Amino acid sequence: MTLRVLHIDDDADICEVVAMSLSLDSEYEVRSCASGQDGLAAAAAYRPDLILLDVMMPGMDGPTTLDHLRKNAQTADIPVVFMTARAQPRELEKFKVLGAAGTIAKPFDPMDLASSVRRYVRPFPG
Amino acid sequence: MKSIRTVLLVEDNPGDARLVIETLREQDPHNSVLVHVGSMCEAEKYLGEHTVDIILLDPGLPDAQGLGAVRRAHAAAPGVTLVILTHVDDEELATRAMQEGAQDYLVKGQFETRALLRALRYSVERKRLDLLKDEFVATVSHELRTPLTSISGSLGLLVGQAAKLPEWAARLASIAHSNCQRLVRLIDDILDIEKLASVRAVFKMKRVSLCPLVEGAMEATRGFAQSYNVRIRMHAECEAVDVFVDADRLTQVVTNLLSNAIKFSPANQEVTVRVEKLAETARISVRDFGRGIPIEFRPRIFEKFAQAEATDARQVGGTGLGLSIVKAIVQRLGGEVGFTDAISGGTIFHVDLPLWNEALHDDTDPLIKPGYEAA
Repeated sequence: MTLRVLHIDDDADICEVVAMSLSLDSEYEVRSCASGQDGLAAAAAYRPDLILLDVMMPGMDGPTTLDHLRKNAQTADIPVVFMTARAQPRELEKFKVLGAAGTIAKPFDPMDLASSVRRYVRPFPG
Repeated sequence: MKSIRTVLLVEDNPGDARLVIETLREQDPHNSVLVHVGSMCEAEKYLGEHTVDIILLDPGLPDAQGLGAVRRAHAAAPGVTLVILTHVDDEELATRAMQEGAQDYLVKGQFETRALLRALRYSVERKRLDLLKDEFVATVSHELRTPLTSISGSLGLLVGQAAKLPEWAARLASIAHSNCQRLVRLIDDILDIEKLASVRAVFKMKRVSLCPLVEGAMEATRGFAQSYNVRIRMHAECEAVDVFVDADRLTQVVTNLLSNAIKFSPANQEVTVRVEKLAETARISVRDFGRGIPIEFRPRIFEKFAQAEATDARQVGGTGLGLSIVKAIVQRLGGEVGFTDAISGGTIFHVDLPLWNEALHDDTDPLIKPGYEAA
């Protein structure tokens, strides 16, 4: 089974590291977007199993992107995991309230990312 | 200093409300708008629709009491200055209210008329500075961690694939990776100690059974111990005892003490842990069989960036902040931390914590106490 992950982050280096980390597990297929706006279009077209979403991005930030994803019927049910370098407890609570499936703190362990992400993927229906 | 344009007074006692309203009207040169509501529900409704500069809160409302009232007001208007107005003069209550996000705690009938407005202005200014500081810490954290994420991730991938690299390249990747991890820990510790220095760091105090917590911390540290070739074991049977603490913060304390003991243990040695109930406290002891603490270093051991020898930071990979964080947390938990030489060598660190006491801790909301009545 292929697990399709959409990673939305404005930092190209981090996108590359995330893609390489997940590709250590052959089940993952990763696409990256550099902005919330691009991410919304990609999510609707690509229909990933999970979205990894950066919090602080220029233009549309992570929480706003999540809000738009939730309002679109095509993307409303896709689990979203925030990746943040600002892992303050107050903000983690806020992300949960916004409907995020979880949070992965930056810096992350690249050798462990695939298994961390798998926790948040919903079981395949049926 | 920012002027106060709108004040929300949340007070169910008409007499007390009138007194505050008259005091402010008499003294306020800026003619602030003062809105009075008599319950938390009304306050929440108003705050949902309007912006205010300051909330004056009586924590003895019919629909919200004590710290619960403070939390609800804070949740309804997170960035807004909150000042508690109460009949009770109690330092512990005041401290807890401040920890829950209040900027000041005024006792009705104990402030001079002119002092009220001044107290409100200072509270607003304190809140503004707090928010600026929070934002600064969060921004610094973000700006440092973002490049570190790429560096640490890239190096982590290289180290994970070391078998495919020439030996010298694998070694260099390993050195760079472990130092990168050290830098991440240092940033985490600096931010943590900064947070702990503030009275605003929220501690979620509750009844906690000590043995499962300590055993959990031991389990979490076991892999780290193995990397140093050190074993961890519980000395004797863990004595069942309940304490009143923030579980996550106490876990951090035990983990820090264990990590320290492991790092300063010779290979093939062990670190022993003991949990016991003393007369009025619960004691957690962590013993190592290391070289001991030099006498001249003992007075500085809990200071920030303190390490016995300059080479310690490089050799054991610590940040020099671990024990300072332990002390700050234990103090906030109402306990004490200390150390002694072990008779047959090594050092024993101990943490003494207040026992769970149903009479004292039954109500986790210390703003509601016997003798305190809603106004």
